[in-house]
Amino acid sequence: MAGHSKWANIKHRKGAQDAKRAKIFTRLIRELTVAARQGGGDPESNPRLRAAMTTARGSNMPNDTITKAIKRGTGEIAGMVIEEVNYEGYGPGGVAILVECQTDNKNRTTAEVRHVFTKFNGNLGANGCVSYLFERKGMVVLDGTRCDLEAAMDAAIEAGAEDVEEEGEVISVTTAMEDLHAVSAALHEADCR
Amino acid sequence: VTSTELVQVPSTSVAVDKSEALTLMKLITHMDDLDDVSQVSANFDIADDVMAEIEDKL
Repeated sequence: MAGHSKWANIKHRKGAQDAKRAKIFTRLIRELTVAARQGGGDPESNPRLRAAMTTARGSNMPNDTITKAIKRGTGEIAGMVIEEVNYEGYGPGGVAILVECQTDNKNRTTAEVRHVFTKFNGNLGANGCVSYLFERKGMVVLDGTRCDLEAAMDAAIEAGAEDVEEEGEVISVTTAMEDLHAVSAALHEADCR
Repeated sequence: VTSTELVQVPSTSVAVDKSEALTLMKLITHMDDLDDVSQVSANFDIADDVMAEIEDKL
């Protein structure tokens, strides 16, 4: 838990100077496509798709792009086949690392992932070696300098959040996967931006 | 709200000392930078002061 929110923290701060917008879009589009393929194109019944759509809109992705990505996932529009592949392994100090990928070329991805593991004293393990240590949750990250911790906590817990943590300037709210949308909406309503 | 996303939350964490923290964080950062990678999750626990020290070196 602790480790994860720290990483979220770093990403958040690095993200402020992150100009790699094109890459963020590529990722979001792939996530939309894969989510739609697995759970269908209706966000009401597909929490993963709904989360992906919220993130995409938050990044100012045009609605048209979002719709196309979803249609590609459901097969309404033909396109490249993008598969979801997870890699599991260990880093220095025996830390378990789970790498989630979306790719149109598994061989390339495997080579790249293995290379990074090897280069930094880690190793790529068998499927299943660390994934049991992780649980999929929803996470809403708030800017602690622009939003009151107590107000955020009240709104989040009222809406069913599991945990609210403050670390430096970042407040992270953890929820069950299916409550993510409700909690995120409640936080918006409570003016925690 | 800075971000709303689905993440992988670890159930247990592993304490990582100073000597290994930098290499570990480099691994995670480089992994995250790969084009095909959508999310990297890890169960490390690094002390705040150590984290602050290595953050600039990433």
